[in-house]
Amino acid sequence: MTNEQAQAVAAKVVAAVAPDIDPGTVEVSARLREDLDVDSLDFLNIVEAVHDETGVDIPEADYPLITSIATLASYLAGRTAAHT
Amino acid sequence: MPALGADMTEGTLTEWLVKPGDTVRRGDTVAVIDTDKAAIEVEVFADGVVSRLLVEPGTKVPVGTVLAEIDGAATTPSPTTTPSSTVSTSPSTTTTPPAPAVMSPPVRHLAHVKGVDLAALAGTGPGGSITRRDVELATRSETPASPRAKRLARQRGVDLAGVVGTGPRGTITGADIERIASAPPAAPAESQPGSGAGHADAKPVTNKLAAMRAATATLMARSKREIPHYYLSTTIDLSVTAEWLVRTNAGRPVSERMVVAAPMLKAAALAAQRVPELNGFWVDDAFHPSHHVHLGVAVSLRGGGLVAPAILDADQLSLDALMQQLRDLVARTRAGRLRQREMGSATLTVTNLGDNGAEAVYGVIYPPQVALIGLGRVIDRPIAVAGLVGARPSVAVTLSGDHRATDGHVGSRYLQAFAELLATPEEL
Repeated sequence: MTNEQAQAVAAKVVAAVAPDIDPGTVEVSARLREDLDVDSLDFLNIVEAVHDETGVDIPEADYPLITSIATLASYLAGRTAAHT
Repeated sequence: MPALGADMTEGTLTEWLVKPGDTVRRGDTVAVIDTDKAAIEVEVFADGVVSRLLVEPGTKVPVGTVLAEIDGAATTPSPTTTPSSTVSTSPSTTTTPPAPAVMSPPVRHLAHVKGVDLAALAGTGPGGSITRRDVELATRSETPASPRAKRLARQRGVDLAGVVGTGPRGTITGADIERIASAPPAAPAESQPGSGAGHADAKPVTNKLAAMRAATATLMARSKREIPHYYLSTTIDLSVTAEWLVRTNAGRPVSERMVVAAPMLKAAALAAQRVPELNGFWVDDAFHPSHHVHLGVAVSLRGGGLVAPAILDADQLSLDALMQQLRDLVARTRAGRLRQREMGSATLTVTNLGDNGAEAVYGVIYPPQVALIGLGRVIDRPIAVAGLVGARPSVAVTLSGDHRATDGHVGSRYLQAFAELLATPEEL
């Protein structure tokens, strides 16, 4: 997965839990919890959507790494690069 | 038109889910009603055949208006009278008819193993109970779909049969459901105002938020006017619960992982069994205990607003089932699709500020309940155990109590029970 693809997926899954967010214009460095008001149940939905879309399973231990769309994208790029 | 909340005076019928000639059974959802708080799916309380629909979709009518006629029954939907009237019509009794489906333990196990959604199943056995055949039929017609797709399909009212899956090996994914749910509706043009956040244009959404705010304002003002609140607070060491949660979630697919709120909600429900003086209603100058623990969960809505639907019989649910119901309830609340039995039926409510919240919340009780449990953000605090201080995950739990019904001593017993239950999470 390229960085662009990873960012597109990341923006898409976050926007799915927060319908008021426009994936085209959202600030990718915005903090999920503090700035985008994503709570723990929203976060579970994000993790599930990532698995659905990409097959990547994010273990609970990695949750703290995912703090924004940008960090989610780089995490996904890293995980999918390792699989190729 | 049922009263779906203590202060509701009128509602708008937005959608009929049945038509004349349809056979209905007690507990079937027959209509969608829009209130200030949410779109609520309303159930019928009698068996019969729908003969006439009396109110057009889009019409606002006062509570008590007859909406439809059913042959073989008195009226429908049954007017759920407000809790401020006599005990015999208190919410805990009127909501028992559409209780969780009845079935034998082997059938329940089969349904669990097959991943069949019991909430969507109509039982054909005696008294509407679910039979083995009902479960097997449901399994046969299920197309392969991810857990997320199944949940989204249920929430958005999408029929999985006939959906073309784009996931691995033709599996239906959540994206497939979202694609279908957001397509322009093929149904006849019936006005469905504000059926989903972000889909309507700005004006109706703003009006809906303003109306919701006004309804909350009325209820909270009434609560503070009528209920002499007392407040208790305690800080609970969550290290055992947190460690147990990490161990339990490890190796589980994300659809089965639990958040820390789940054991806390279960503990809140079980503690209500131990201290029943806090579980029930203050009506006509007396406390009326409830035989059920319907745990209200305060859910904040994106863009503002707070709704507190109930998880029915939360004390009877397994922890996994409670977690699934919590996820489902929060998602449907935020999508604006709640069921009648979930509104106005809470016997005790929990408000959980969650990860972004303040350390403690001293909340306002929802009348006619007599208590509110507040959960602050889980943070590390220096806590002394066996003489040594360490940084441990902990939560500030508060109890707001109605001083007409209980005193601080009862509230303290509740918080003590809550802490004890959380200390043995494997038994929750």
